[in-house]
Amino acid sequence: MTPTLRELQSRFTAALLGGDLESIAPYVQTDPLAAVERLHIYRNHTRISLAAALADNFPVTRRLVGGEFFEATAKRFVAAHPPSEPCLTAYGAGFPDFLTRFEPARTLPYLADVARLEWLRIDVTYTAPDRALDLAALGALSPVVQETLTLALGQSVRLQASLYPVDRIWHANQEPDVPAIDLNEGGCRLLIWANADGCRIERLTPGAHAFFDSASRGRTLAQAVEDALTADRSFDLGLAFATHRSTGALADTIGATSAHEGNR
Amino acid sequence: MTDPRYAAAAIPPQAGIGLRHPHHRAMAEIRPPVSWLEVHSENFMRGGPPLGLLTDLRRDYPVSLHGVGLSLGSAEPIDKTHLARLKALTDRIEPGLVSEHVSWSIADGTYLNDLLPLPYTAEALDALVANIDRAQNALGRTILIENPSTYLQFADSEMDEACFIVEALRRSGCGLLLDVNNVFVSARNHGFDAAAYIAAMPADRIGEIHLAGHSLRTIRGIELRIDDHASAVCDDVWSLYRGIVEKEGPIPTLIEWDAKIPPLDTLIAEAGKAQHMLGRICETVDDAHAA
Repeated sequence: MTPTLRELQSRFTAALLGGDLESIAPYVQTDPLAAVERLHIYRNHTRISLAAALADNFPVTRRLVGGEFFEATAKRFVAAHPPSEPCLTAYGAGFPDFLTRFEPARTLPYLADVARLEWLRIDVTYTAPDRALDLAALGALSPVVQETLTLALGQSVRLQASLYPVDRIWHANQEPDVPAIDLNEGGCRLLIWANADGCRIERLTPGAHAFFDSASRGRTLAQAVEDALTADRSFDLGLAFATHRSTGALADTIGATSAHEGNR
Repeated sequence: MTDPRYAAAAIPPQAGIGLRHPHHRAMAEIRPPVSWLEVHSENFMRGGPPLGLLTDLRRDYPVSLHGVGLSLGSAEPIDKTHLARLKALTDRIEPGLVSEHVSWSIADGTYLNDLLPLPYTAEALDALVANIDRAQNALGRTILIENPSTYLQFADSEMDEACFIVEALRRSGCGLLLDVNNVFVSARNHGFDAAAYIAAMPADRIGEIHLAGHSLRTIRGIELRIDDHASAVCDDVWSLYRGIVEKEGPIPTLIEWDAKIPPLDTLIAEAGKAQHMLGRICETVDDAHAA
């Protein structure tokens, strides 16, 4: 029986993503080339073009494993997690997690974290920044109000912690000749943000990372300082605020709070 | 109202080029003398540096927005979120033309990143026309639809492709983006006459022409033309193109080169060939007026 257009497109989609091409062959004219041969052209194009979109978004990950391994990995990811919308600059959010579970990549334990850093760079590049917290306005508040102020991380700011020096790996792979990197030099804690000149990656101390991480979870200023000191006894709030000044890491929660109170 | 910082919006009946990522920096710095630019709408919808560049280039060039993700041929209504993003982009860029494809790429919430073929049935025609209506209503303008290149035909098709497209144009009131390479590729793959297909199209509805290269693949002894946009335009396609502009006069023409992208100079030289043919048409028309 002839399927409806909706049924046909649904079956076609399943077949292209790895299902049985024979299942739609009866609906395709064969002469002079078999239906399955014709369908193979579409399946190949879909897989190759989506793998290429992923390669565009994860160039360092690709360079680390080589084109052949990357393409094979990307095709597996594409079949399991095809995009849900046509803006492919947004494709690959699940790729870092996929890599952590991908058995053939186990020999490169840092690979998923490098992919995550690449994804976070894309994420901040395409997210419009919101208003940053005004430290002068914060200073003008009474100490009690300051301490109980709820913090928030800027919309276009991300944090990453890795057991490997993924920032050095990323920077090294921007060069034609990659310098040697000692994987035993230890991990890193990063702040990733974008400005008009592009994306930036900055290393944070353990304390500063704990501070901004608390902010991302909506903790108050007093709680965030406490979290930071628990993580790192040498935490310096002044230095964390200096990082905020140069990156706009903290979102403006004073304006939001006062507007909220004004509505009452 | 047109942004006063922008160049005129209308796409002139001259040769333009497709703006692709490897040329972004060169275009920003050199601003070569090309008549107009076409971009894939989806690459600029998320904002960020690409949209910044396009907004900047828009000061010097008319821009055509060519979409690959609306999936006009889907049985389901086109995605409202995506349509809203396209509307926001057209508001920002003020394009001279907005175009999409006679194909589908989305089903069951999955985007396949390919321009997939439709069965040429009354049901598919209804779905296509309904989606063109949705797009035109949301954008507040007419769009152009591009004829596809295909590697298969459905057994249940009730009409030929030319008939299907002519009917879609008539019922939706939209215009045609005639891709001459696609006509040639499909004609060779399915054994129909490319010139007859072109002659069947309503000439007054052709708003733009696409030219591109394709490749030849042999599968089990059968030759198949693959529309890969990875090379220069072939002689047969130039010949069909010359026939169209000699008969219908100058029409905005775009060279598409999407894979194995050559240096910007090579791309501009290819556009120059189309411009040369369009220029000769203009001279002939001027001579006729002078006489």
